[in-house]
Amino acid sequence: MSKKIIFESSEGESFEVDEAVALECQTIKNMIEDDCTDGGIPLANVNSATLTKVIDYCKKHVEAAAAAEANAGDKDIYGANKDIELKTWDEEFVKVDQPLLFDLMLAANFLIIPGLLDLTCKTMMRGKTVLQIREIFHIKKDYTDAEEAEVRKENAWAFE
Amino acid sequence: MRVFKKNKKRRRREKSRDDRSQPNHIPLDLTFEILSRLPAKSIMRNQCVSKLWSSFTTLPSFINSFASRSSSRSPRLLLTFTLQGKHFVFSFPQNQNPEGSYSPVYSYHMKNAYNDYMRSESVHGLILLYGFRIWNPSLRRIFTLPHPEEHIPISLCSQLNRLCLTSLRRFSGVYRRDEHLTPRSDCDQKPFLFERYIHSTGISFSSARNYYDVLGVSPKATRDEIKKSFHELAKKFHPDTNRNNPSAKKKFQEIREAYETLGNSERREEYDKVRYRNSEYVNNDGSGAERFRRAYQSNFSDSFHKIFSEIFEDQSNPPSPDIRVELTLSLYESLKGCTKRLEFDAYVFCDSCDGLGHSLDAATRVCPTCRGLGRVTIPPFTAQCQTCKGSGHIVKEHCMSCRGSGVVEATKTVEVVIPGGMESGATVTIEDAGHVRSRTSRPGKLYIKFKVANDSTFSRDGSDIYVDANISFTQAILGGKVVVPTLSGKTEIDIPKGAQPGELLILRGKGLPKQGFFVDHGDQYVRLRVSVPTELNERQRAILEEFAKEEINSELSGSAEGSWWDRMGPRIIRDFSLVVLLAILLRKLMG
Repeated sequence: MSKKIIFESSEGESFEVDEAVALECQTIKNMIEDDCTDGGIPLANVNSATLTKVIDYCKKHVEAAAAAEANAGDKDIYGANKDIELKTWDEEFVKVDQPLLFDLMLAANFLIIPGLLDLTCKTMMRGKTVLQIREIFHIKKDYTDAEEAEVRKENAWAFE
Repeated sequence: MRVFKKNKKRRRREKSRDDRSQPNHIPLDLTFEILSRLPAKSIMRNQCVSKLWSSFTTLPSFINSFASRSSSRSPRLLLTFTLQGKHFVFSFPQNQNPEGSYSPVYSYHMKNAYNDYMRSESVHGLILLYGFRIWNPSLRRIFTLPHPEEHIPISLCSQLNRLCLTSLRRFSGVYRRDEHLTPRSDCDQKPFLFERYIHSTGISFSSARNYYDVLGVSPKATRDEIKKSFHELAKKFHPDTNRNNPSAKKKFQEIREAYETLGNSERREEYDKVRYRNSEYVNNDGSGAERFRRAYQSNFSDSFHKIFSEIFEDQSNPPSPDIRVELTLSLYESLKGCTKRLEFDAYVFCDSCDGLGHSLDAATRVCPTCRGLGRVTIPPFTAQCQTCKGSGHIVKEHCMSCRGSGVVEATKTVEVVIPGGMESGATVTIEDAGHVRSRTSRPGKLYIKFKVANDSTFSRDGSDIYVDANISFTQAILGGKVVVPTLSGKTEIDIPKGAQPGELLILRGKGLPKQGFFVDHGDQYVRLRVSVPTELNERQRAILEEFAKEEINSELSGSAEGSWWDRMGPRIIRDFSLVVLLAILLRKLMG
């Protein structure tokens, strides 16, 4: 019934998804609107494992949105967010190891999936110390110790 | 269209390939995305990750993005105030108009406002407590905004709100404009708030802050003239020569500030430029509407300038800590009052730099935050620059002995005149005698708590005092005089004949002061102690033996002679008088 879109992961693996699901990604949506999706969309920087997860996420959210619409009848933008079940699903969804989470975040950023990006960003940063963040993002500390101490002191309240 | 999109796609792909080739590096736009999705507190925390991240969070574009993202979060109270019985609540960024101004979320009459009024919410790190109180968690201080008394036109409310927003944000430390933290991206790198506004209005340079007037020189004065004038004035108003005059201190500050600007040719030039621009602004008397707008604006500024200046000033000049000491007084001192020298450890102004933290002619450089103006202006608010504390420059070389703080720990000696009638536990407060922190803030207070020591001569019971008096046994028997100490000096009292050991003699009104009915002093009790001699010479012994014999004799003879009469006498008299009485009664009845 609905049109199928074919994604191609970095490994060359093909994934067939409904157009409705693909429309969750702003980047893909633009491409569909421009009608340049024939023959599959190569996603060179998204590997198969990540892509599977992304598609899972999109599917779930499309379904949830449809269900919410059917139940409530009115269109509430945040209707989906209010759904507790979906929230718990989201929580489960991001319980993955750090590299995959990072990949998911990159993919969400690339495909422009605001919900997923939001989710992964928040999960990524939740409860992380400054040191951990530096480690995860491979950031070199460019403060001197004294400078850092000063910045920390200034923002002391945020560390409580 | 199609080609374009394909290009876009390719571009993206290329970019993503770049990302992959550098797997260790997180793309900047993603950093941006991540940070803008975090709560304010996390953002502040992540400023410590790296300079780059810190610079991100201070980008105007970041803040806008953060603000728009926050709109899906619960509304955050930004500012509330009352106007003509109505209570206005502004929130950020719920109600953003297309023009970029903010309108009140809601307004309501004050009568029903109490519950909402008590609500507290956080604004970008600052916690707004019930209406006009702001809690800055970094400084752990609450600032109370006074109620705006002047009527603020409603049309200005939205503008006001935006301004408050920027002020508050700046205040909360999101806008850091240190040179090394300026973003290295292609975004607007200017410290935009300051740059843009400082040249557009003249509020920050009100007439009161004309440095030339402060130093009493003409704007065309040469450097030597300025220097000469400064030295004269500085001598006149120096805090050391005007210890009892707090306004002199303020004046001295002003003079110093003026000289620091005008004494430096580079900064003077800068100052002149801004001043010229402002005077142009003032003199440019346009149409009636123009004039009105200006009057309006200054009014508006006055009321809120007051509010905000207060916050900022408070922040930079927290009162210095107080000192508490305990002082022990003798009973006599506490009663009569005295002058005591008191020594205690305190922070005092450094001797070598006189509390400035640097020598008067120390080398300076222009403050990077305010660019030497000493004030940061976000119309209509002008706040003292935090980095340089309003002086417009940073000193390069600090005083060696106090390391630039201006204060050192030392033993401070204070002479205290203590009034009479002090009681244990009483506290005396001496203003401005506590710790000092800086020349600009008021010294702390000195609290002296008194303790009255126990006295070796007098013991106390409330307002009554007790004193022991030693008398000989002969004095006790025969009576006599004894000299006793009282609070007002020694006095001689009579000993009654036959005084007993431990007997109390009362000296009315010789005790401690008290609040009472008819009496304003307690009593002094003299407790008699009879001392019995342990060693006697021959004669004394003989006399005493004689006395003892006499005593036994008199006891024996007394009992032998008067035994019958002593026992029966009173009874016979009573019986006899009864008989006589009956006889008289009978005669009367018969007669």
